Amino acid sequence: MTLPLDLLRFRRRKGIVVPLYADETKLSLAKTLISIFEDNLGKKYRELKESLDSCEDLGYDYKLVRGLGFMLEQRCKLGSKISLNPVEVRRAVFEEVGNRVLALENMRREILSKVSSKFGVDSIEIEDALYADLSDEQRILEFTPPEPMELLKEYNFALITGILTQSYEMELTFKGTVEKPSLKLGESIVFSEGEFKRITLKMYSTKYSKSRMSELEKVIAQLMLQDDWRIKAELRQSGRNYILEVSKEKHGALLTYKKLYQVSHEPPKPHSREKQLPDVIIVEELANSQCITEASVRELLKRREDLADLGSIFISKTKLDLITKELEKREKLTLRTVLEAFKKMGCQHPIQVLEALGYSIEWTENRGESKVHRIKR
Amino acid sequence: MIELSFIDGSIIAKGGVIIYGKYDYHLGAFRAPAFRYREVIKDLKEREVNYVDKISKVSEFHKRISELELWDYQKEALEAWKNADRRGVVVLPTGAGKTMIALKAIEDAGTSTLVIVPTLVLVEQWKEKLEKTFGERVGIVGGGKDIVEALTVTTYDSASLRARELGNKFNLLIFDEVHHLPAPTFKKIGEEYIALYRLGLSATVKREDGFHLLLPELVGEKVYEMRVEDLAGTHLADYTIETIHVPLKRVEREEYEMHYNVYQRFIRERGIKMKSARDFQRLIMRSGFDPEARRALLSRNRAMEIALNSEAKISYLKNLILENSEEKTIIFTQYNSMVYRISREMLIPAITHQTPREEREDILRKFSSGEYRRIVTSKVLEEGVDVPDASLAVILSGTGSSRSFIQRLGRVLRKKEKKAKLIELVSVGTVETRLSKRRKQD
Repeated sequence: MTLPLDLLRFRRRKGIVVPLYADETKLSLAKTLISIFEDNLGKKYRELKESLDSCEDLGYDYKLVRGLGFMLEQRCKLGSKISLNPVEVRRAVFEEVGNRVLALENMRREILSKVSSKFGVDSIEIEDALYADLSDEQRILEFTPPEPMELLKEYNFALITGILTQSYEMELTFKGTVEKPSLKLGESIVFSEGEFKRITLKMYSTKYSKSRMSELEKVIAQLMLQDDWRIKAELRQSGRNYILEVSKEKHGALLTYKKLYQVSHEPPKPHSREKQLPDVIIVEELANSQCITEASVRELLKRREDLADLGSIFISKTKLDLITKELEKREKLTLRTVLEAFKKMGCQHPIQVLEALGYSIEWTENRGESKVHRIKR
Repeated sequence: MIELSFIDGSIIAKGGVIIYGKYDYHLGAFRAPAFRYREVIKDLKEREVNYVDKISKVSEFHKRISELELWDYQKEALEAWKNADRRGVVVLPTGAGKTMIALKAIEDAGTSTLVIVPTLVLVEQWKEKLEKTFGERVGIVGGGKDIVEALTVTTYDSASLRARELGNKFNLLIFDEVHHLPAPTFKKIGEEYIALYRLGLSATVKREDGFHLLLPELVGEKVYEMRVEDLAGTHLADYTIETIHVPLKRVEREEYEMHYNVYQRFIRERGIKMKSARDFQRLIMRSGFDPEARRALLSRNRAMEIALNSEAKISYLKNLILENSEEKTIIFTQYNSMVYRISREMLIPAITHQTPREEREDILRKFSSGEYRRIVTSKVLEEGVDVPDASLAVILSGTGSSRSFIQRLGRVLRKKEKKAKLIELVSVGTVETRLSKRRKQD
């Protein structure tokens, strides 16, 4: 579940977004709200809302009260006990009224009585059925109460996903396996870095539909199943950029996802396109393998401080340093000597790297003897 | 040689500089917003630069509809738009035939056209009108449909979401209810489509947030305007506006004053000035972290609710309806709860955003035929729905928005023999009197 934007509670300080989690100090509020829902079982949704409104004067932030209420509503089943179809009842009543003006109460009673005999019920049932399909008129048929602490943890999860809907880019780091996010959310790349994996996700700026929202919830819930995890998200609010950081170590105890999402504890299938990031990345190849645009690949890679951007390729800065030194120390370069040097350094794609570094190859029949010139610095 | 292409709602220029272009290091090319297409081409021609244009995927659309005759003012509006390089906004009251002008504009432009409307109901209404007029298949994008034709209708939502794909396929954009366009979420429609020709239609373009000032850049200047009073008695029905001041009942008055005093005290003590909608927005934001501000805001809302929904007004409304029992009447309220209260008490068909589509159409059809003589509604019938003609509009409650007022007035203005009437009920001695004055100012 995700909290609506108008109920999100957070502070912004020095470029950082700090979510205002519901901790154990809010347990008493959680208990009160749960009991209000229990007391309203069988009553109209409108009555429940009125009871909840009164809780906003208890001294808590109204957004917290409404947010917890929102979470509890997800545990309710609303419905109507009326057997008549309200649309048909309304049509019959209004047709019976026709052009008349109901100036007196007895005229109204007369109309309702006529319609009730048509439907074979009494007038009170007609009155009840008239707008029984409105959400406010629905009754709370079922309610599954959570434990108060569980409610607070679910709320915190919904708070985080709510804030993440405002993110334009996020980085999910974890030990274990999380499915590559669907394209509904945005374009993503999955990297392996030692025992950690990292998903860099560039979100589309489109609105969050229900299915897009549940995709985000699924990804975050899966992430939180892992042994270790971290979220670093970049958000733009009121024309400024902010960072949100959440990690298992600091916040794991405040968050839960299990009851609401019933996320399978079986590990998801391994990523089909998961790659250990090589030292030399050809932008076009990576874009093709991840089914995203070259511009997005560049956008995602340029944020990595360990990589140097050479246009059509990205290369690890350490490797670049080695290559540059190797090339500069030789006066006359042939393709053979260059290829051998690259091989020693364990560097792939030598031709593309040479071109990106501003070298050209003067091809000869004997390929190995082809001369390598520097055409720019 | 410059190669121009269209990527993600932008004009991309490889091989040279273009006007409004910013250099994009990733693409190795200049990038300019799509709506600058006209200026970009004009500038390249003026500079005599060779270029290949791979941007436009627009198609031609030549269909004559000579049987469609325009009124004089409609012809003037169309001419004014044509003279402004087929760009601009036409402001005409509801019922004055803005759609006719749009149909003629499509015929005149002879090019692929995207009609952008605020609601799915209007998508269907426009599709029907276009198919009937031009006898051609009309595409729909939105509401689960995705058919693109030379004539296509879509919603503001879909036009915004799909700008990257549709942005270079149409050369004429028609914005129905164009005052929606400058909203932050929809502004990009104006920016990410290349269309050289643009026509905006509205009964009133002014927005409370002031964003209507963006319209000249996104669509064009206001090229023609006729106000209700210019057309009343000739092309629109003559009308009267009557404001009836209804006193609150004693208990209501006491409760109103108690709540309004809480709000006023807070404003006074904090030295807050309430001069514009922006000041009020600030108070709302403040209420998020300041409990006293929140209490003041809730008290103000409660006071407003009492003033707008007073028992005295309901009693008055009953008499009013009785006195005007022969009139086809639309009752407007600010709150849905009031719509349903009136509907229950007086057994009057109600239309709100919660009314199922089929039921709404059934009610409007019966209202049109005279089978129902009254309907009660909130804001949902102000625009976006083809509402049958009425002779009496009763505003039980509303905001200070002049647009909303003009739209409500427009519901009784289609040409008829009798004078149309608009009656507003205002709780005397409350903040509602100010709202009433404000909405009638423009």
